[in-house]
Amino acid sequence: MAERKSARLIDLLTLLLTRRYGVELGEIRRLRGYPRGEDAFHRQFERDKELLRELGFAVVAREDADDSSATVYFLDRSKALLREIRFTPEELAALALARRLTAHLPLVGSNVREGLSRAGETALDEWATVGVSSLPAPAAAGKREESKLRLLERAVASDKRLRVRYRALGDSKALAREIDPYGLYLHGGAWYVYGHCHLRRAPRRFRVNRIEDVRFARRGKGPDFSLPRGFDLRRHVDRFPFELGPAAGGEAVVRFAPAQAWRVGAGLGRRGRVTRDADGSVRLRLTGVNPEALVTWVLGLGRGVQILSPPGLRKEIGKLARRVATLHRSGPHTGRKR
Amino acid sequence: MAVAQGHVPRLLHLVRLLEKHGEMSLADVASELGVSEDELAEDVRLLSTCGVPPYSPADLFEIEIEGGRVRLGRGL
Repeated sequence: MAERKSARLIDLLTLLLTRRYGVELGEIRRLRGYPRGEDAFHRQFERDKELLRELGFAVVAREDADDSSATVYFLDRSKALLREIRFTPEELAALALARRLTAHLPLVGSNVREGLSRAGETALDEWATVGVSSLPAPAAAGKREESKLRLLERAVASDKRLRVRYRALGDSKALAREIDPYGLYLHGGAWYVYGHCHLRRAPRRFRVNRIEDVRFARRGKGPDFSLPRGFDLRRHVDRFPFELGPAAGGEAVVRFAPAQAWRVGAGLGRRGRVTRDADGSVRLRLTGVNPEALVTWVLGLGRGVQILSPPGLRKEIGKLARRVATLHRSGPHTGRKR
Repeated sequence: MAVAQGHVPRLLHLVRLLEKHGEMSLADVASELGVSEDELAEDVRLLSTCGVPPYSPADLFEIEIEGGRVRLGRGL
């Protein structure tokens, strides 16, 4: 009995799949397994349509293009999909984590990796909106690092405010601050949290290994903040320092000498307008950059990279370079006045 | 109804598997579908009788077991 039913449904599905322009009721009646009586056939067909719908195949009826008095049935291919799986933010975070981890585990079967990768392709946008990057990750440095990452992922997935002690680059002491974590991502082998910093009252990114202590800022199960409308983590991953923080108006032009022109690859080149001079040097025209960060960044690139304009930044970088040179000439800096 | 609902997705899964791989060992397919080899053989037999009217050999699924392998032909 069950076998006959399965065979009838497979036949019906095959018929609908092989007839692009629809199937007349008469053809369906010729399928094996349908009762002969008119009413019994209709009842059975209605039940079968419902069963196919439950399986993800929507059978729809429409008027026959050649004969307005006839009805044809066809599969709505736009709906011929299994029911969409909606993941909760926690499940998305877990999937993203699983995908990252399995990329490095040879013991995980290829079917699992393939499945997770496929899920990644289809749900990547969603993963980005819940704030978890799907890039492959290295193993956590230790238990402490692992539990820190877990807490951060939970906070990102459930929009929980965090209280952290963070030691910024160049600072000798960690500062307490509260952050609303929008996303967690991996860049250059290090984990970063991107979010709103309540201390600075602006979005900031935090390198996870400089977070000395982290905990939930508030008790309670509900979310503590909402993601900014249209937030997309991918826009904040792989950003140059001059793209972060307060931006100035106007254009800044950075020149890369021929030996340094390789730096303006696809990543940097997309940040601004690139022109090439006859001598092989490259000019990168940037707008809306953080001037202070641009000066520090250019200085860090060393010989062969210079700011051509605006004049204010040229002056600033010259001043900073002279200070560095003076410090180097006067030996190790002790922080005391001599 | 529940039997048919669970059975039909399994039959569809079997067809999709074989469409992807061409042919597979009986053991691999049975393991993938979570059924015994006997149950799989029953599914293959059932599918080989499925198709569209007038149910001539050319209108049926070309599916068979031979030498411990399941094979799906290019019928339909």
